[in-house]
Amino acid sequence: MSSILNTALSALNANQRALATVSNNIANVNTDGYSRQTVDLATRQPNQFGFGAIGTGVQITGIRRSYDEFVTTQLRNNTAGFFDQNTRYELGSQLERVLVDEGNGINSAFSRFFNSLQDVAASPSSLSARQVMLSQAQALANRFVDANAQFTEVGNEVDARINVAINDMNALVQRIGDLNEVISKSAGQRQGAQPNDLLDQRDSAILELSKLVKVSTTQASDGSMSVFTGSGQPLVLSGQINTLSLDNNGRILLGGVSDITASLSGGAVGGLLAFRDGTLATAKQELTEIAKTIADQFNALQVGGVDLAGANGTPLFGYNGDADNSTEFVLSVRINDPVKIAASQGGGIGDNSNILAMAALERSAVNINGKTTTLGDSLRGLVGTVANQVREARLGSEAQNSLMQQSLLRRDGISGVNLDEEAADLLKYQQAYQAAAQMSAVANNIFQTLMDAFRR
Amino acid sequence: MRVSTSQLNRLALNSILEQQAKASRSQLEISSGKRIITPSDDPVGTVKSLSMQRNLERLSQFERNGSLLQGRLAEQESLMTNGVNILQRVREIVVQGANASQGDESRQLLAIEVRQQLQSMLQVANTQDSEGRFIFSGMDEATPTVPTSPPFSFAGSTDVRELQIGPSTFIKDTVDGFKAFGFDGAQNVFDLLSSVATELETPGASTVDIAAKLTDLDKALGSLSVARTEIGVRLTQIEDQSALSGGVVLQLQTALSETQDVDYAEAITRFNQQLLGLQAAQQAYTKVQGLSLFNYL
Repeated sequence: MSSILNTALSALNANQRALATVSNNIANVNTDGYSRQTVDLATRQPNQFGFGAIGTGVQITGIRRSYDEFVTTQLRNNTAGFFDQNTRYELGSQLERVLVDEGNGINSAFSRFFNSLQDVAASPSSLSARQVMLSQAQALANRFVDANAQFTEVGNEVDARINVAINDMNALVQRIGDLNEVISKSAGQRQGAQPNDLLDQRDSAILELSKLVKVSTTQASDGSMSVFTGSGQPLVLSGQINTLSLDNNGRILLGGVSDITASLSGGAVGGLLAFRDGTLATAKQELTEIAKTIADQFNALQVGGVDLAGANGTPLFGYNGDADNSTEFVLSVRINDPVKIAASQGGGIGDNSNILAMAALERSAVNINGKTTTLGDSLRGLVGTVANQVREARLGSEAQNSLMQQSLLRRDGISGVNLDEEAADLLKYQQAYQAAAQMSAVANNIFQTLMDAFRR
Repeated sequence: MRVSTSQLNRLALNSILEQQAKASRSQLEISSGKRIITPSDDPVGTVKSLSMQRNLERLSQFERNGSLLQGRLAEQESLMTNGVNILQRVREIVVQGANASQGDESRQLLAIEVRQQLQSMLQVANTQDSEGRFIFSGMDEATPTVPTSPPFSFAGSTDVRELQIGPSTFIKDTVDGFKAFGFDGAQNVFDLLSSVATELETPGASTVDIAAKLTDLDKALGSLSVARTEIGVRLTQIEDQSALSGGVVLQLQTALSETQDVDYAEAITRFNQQLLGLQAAQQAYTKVQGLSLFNYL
């Protein structure tokens, strides 16, 4: 009788805990990173008799989380890939907007400037035509200065975002280190019992970290997990952590000493760095180079020509870093007297041959960054190059997003809670619990029967 | 394969979001009328349209140059015609003066008119445009072309500037005054008129000597006519170029529109399909949401 009662009790206990697990699964159906938990049931040690063994009920041997290492790793990598491309796309679009506003601005200012040269060519001695040309030159220079300032602003934002990302990374690295400590301690205390919720939390933290940078992991026998950047720089080594910092040159340091900027790839930080040191740096450099070429080409003709007063021409444009270091702007106009435009090659005040030569500069071959192009093509190319990179990033971001969604679905397929399944389990354990309760009633009845027999 | 509840939600939601994004893109294209909203939609097309836009602006500047030039040349053409008329009138006077019936006195009167015509010819040569530039002085446009009293020498420049009226077409802005007024020959037109007057003023001048001037006058007429014809040729060139540019502009505008403008018929069809897709995704979502075993517990 007591064995019946004990067996029934074990079933009540086991099914109650199983129901608690079901309840926990239902409670966490919408919890990010939660892995469905299931109870492992096994028979208890049977009582041995001469005729054989009688079972003594059921016991819980463990509570497992549904988890797949491979899928988890894949999700991390795809997440890092998506955040990398998506960050490039986001920032690229921002740069693109600058170029749509400013670049179209530059292109139309360029167009108006070259048209104004034709008006001077038509009336070389007209001061008003010359004044218009100077104003258009100034407008063109202003567009360059504006675009450059906008590029700098985008660059500042990138730096600010890198800074925030590094703080977030440090917090996550700290959290992973802390969780490692708790997990390895708990593994020591409770032999074999998995701290499922802590493991989920650590996986979530590593997934969060993967949004910022691509990482790889290795698990030690004590349950602690080491985390490395893509190229093997240790962020977490069991309980020991290395923090990241940003130096004044925009380099990222590990533990305050070693520069690991080049070894960070993937994730938002990888995207930020690739954008800052790639797309943005190139666009800025190209803008500067085009400005310098415009200045050089026009100045050469200006200096070789004769102005309205009959004097030799002086440089029309200045650029940042030019020989006499007269300007800090990416492009500036150095003449403010319209008389000083050297429209002539010495043929008289009606001579327009030099200004015609300037007008021809639009289509003459120049060398910019080692490429043979024309001034007009190089400015249009600036828009084109950035647009191309944004397009690539967008396509990359779309591709990575669908990969990430696929791995999310695969992880959900394994680890996610299915409410119908839980409902079925609920019924299953509830019925078992009810049956066990009936069993204890039966045990009670048997006991009463026996008592009644003695009472007579 | 096992499917989790969140997976079902995510799938249904993702497909709604995807359809929404597509429909919103189409809507943007339809409302803006543009196929390229940001350069990255079509980097090659963007660069192409920028290039075509610049080409159009450049051609319109050439068109401006052309019509400016037309105005200038038309003025010079009428000045050349004035010159021709002057010389023809002087030719009539010479024919009249060469008549033996003319006496010294009447020839004096004829000479006075010739001198007046000389002044008119000088005015023609020293014509200034609306901005005070001497039209026939070439690149030295601030200098009067010919001094108003003898000796008559060409004070301008024989260099004539060109204006660009097409991608590779340059047309001379003015007539070369040096040639038009005969400075390249034995006698310029002003000296000629002066000598005609002197001949008529000479008492008892021989009719043969007077008539001899006709040959020189015809030569001067020739120079002016050549200049006038040359202007006519240039005006034709400008018209030809303008017609040519007009064709190119039309082609460019068509190509530009094809590159950057939306094809409404296609876009609206696409938009309708996407809305249908969105509706289907939303219905699927609500259907799936309604299913739960808990409904039956």
